[in-house]
Formats: sequence, C-alpha cells, structure tokens
Amino acid sequence: MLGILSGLVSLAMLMLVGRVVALAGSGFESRVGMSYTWYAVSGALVHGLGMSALGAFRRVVRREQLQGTLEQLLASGRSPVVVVVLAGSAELVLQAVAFVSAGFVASWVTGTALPAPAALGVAGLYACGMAGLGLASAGVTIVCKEGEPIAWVFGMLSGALGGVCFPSFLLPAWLAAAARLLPTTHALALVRASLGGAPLPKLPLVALAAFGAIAAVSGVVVLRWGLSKARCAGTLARY
Amino acid sequence: MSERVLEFHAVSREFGRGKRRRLVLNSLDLSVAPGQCVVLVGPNGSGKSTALRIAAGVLEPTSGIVTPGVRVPGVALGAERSFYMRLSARRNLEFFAHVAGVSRRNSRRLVARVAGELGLSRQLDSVVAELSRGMRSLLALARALVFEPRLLVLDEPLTGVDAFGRVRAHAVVGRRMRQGTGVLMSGHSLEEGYEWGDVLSYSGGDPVGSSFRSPS
Repeated sequence: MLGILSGLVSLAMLMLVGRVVALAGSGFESRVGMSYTWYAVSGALVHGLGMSALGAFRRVVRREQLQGTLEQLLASGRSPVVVVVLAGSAELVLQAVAFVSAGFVASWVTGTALPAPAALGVAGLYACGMAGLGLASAGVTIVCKEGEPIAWVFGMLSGALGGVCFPSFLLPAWLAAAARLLPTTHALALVRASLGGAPLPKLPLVALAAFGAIAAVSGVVVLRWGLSKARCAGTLARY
Repeated sequence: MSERVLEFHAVSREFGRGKRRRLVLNSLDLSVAPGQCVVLVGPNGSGKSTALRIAAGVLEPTSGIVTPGVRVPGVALGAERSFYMRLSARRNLEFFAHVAGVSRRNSRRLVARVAGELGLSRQLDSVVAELSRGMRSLLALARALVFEPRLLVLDEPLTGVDAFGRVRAHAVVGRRMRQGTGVLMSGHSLEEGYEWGDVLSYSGGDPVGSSFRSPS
C-alpha cells in the first residue's frame, strides 16, 4: 500500500513538472514527440523495472542468507545456479507485473493512450537483460556481502544518463556518447518510439538484444564463481 | 570393500588467512555404511559442524577427499534459522521435499507420514515462527527425513527436544537405519553418542587442529 501511495505521489509530481515544462513553451513536445509528463513517467517506469530486475536475484540471495535457508537449498542436490534463478524468478515476475500495472494506471491517470504491446515487449527484453546482469550482482553479493558495485554503477549511470527524466541530447557530447553504452538508453528510445506509434529503430533493438545475451552469460559465470568461492571460504550462510 | 554412503579420507579444513589461519579439522578419516550411525562427539569448536557441513556439500574441505555414496543427503544443519518463518511447517516441509526432487503429490503424503512419526501432526499448520525451539529441531529432522534419503547428516538434531520427542526421534531414525539409511551426526557427550551408534570422539587437547578417533 505504501508503495502504491508513493508511486501516485511521484506521478503527481511528474505531472506538475510536466505543466512547468509545458508553460515554458512547446519546444520539448515538438522535439521529443510526447508530453514531458508521459516522457518522465515512461522513463521512471522502465528504469524502475530495470533496477528491480537488476536487484531481484541479489535480494533473494540476501533474504535466503538472512533466513538461513540458502545452505539448506544448496544442500538439496539441485544446481546452485538453478536454485538462485528459480528463487529470483518469482520475485522478478511479481515486480514486472507491478510495473506493467503501474504503467496502465499512469496512462489512465494522465489520459494517455495505453502502452503498446511493442513497448511491453521491449520492456520485457530490457528486464531480461538486466536480470542477467542481476545474476552477476547476486554472485558478487555472495562474495562481498555488502557494497555490491554492479547494481550501484548501473543504477546510478542509468538514472543520470539513460534518458529517464531528461533527453540525452541535453548532455555534453562525451556524456551522450557514454549514455549510448547503457541498455537503459536503448530501452527507453524503443519504448518511447513504440508509445509514439513509430516503427522500432533497429540499432537500439540490436544493442538491447546483444546486451541481454552478454549479460545472461556473464551473469551465470559470475554467479557460479561467487557460489563456488563462498563454498570454499565457508561463508555461504554469512551476510 | 563394502558399499559406503559416505567416506572421508584425510579431510582437513582451515579457516582464515595469514595470522588468523585456524586449523579446525585435521586429517579426518571416517566412513558411514548403510544402516550405520556415526556420531562425532566433542566440545564446542572441535570441528563437528564443519565436518557435517562438508558432508552435506555446503563447504569444501581445504584438503582430503570426500566420497559421497548418495546424490542428495537429508540434512539438518541448524534448526533455529533454516526455515521460511512466516510459512507453515507443512508448506516448509513440502517445499524442501519438492526442491529435493519429490513430486508435489508425493510430498504431501510423505510430509503427513514423517510428521505423524515424529509427533508433529498437530503443528503442521502452525507458522514456523510460532513453534518452540524443540519443535523446530524436530521439524528440521522431519525435513531431513521427508524424502527418504540414504544418508542423514544431522548437526545436534535434538537440541531443545523434550524426552517424548527424543524417544520418537530415536525410533524413527532407528527404523530408517534398519532400512539401510546411514547417519552422520554430532553430539556433545559420549553417553548421547552411544545412544545412537558408533562414536568418533574428539581426540583431546586444544580443539584447534583437532580430529576425531574411535575412543579406546
């Protein structure tokens, strides 16, 4: 309930900021192709979905460690990676449903057209890629216990440079170039294009798919490494 | 050589690095045959739990060879913090049985049976957080037994359990042993150890670097 309430407060604030931007003139809408409110709402939702996917496995690993059930699960004879993936997937699906529902509520509140299926597909692809990276984040968490750097770096850079609250053409050229390396930038470009009814640009789509494939493979490798290292060090159950 | 459900050969385990390095298990040899119960007896810090965690596969030995004779042992490594506290005892047992490879339908039947054997039937629908320490210990034993493993690895399984619960637990584990299940467990006293089976007792002196031998 508190989460829903704070989501509605954030939506109201973005609508008010949208009015301020509209008062400043029609330059933003003509250049970006949508109102600032919907631009920022779509940015916040997609970014939030990505961050939730990035943290899903890490949160599950931490929770299982706190409960003391991680060792018990890993003693079950199942592949440790499968155990973590299955445990985190439920959390991931719940988060995805919450964010998609929030998107429909936001479109209803702001009177904007409902999110297109293509936008949902792109958001799903982005979430899968971030979840792959989340496996790596979980692996590092198992070893480091606190101060996990992957989620911190991606979270901070995506929020600042990924085009969540302002377009990347406002950034200095070198930061705009750095922004193109972030999956969030491409995911948001695709989602906003599909919301505007435009055909999906190919380059961001390829970039997003490539990121997803690389993140999934590297995520499994890092998670395996983390579990093996903790098993050797005897710190699986520590948090 | 007869079939073994677990063998340790010269298994050692150290913790820490540099000046903080600590030898906890020193070249431990043991074997558990089907139907045999081996009890590690020793004071706190003598390496009992470390040996059991290695046997359960959640800790790697620093050196030595562990030969598991079974794919998945039934494991109870600590009852206080190893359950989903807000779920019922039944849901916990069914979930862990399912994770160990038991079908959902079979897990319901097996959970009801093992809970009946251990006198836990009335507690099955209570959330774990509401159970006493002794009940949680019995629940951890039930979880280890539920999928009928051929090896049980039990770390002080009857902590906090009352006399009635102990009698039931002895009977249930004894029945499983007669069916061929091997048991490796830990205990604090030789008397307790001999109640269960063959004792490997802590060899004396400073616990650091200790190992376990058959008492003379």
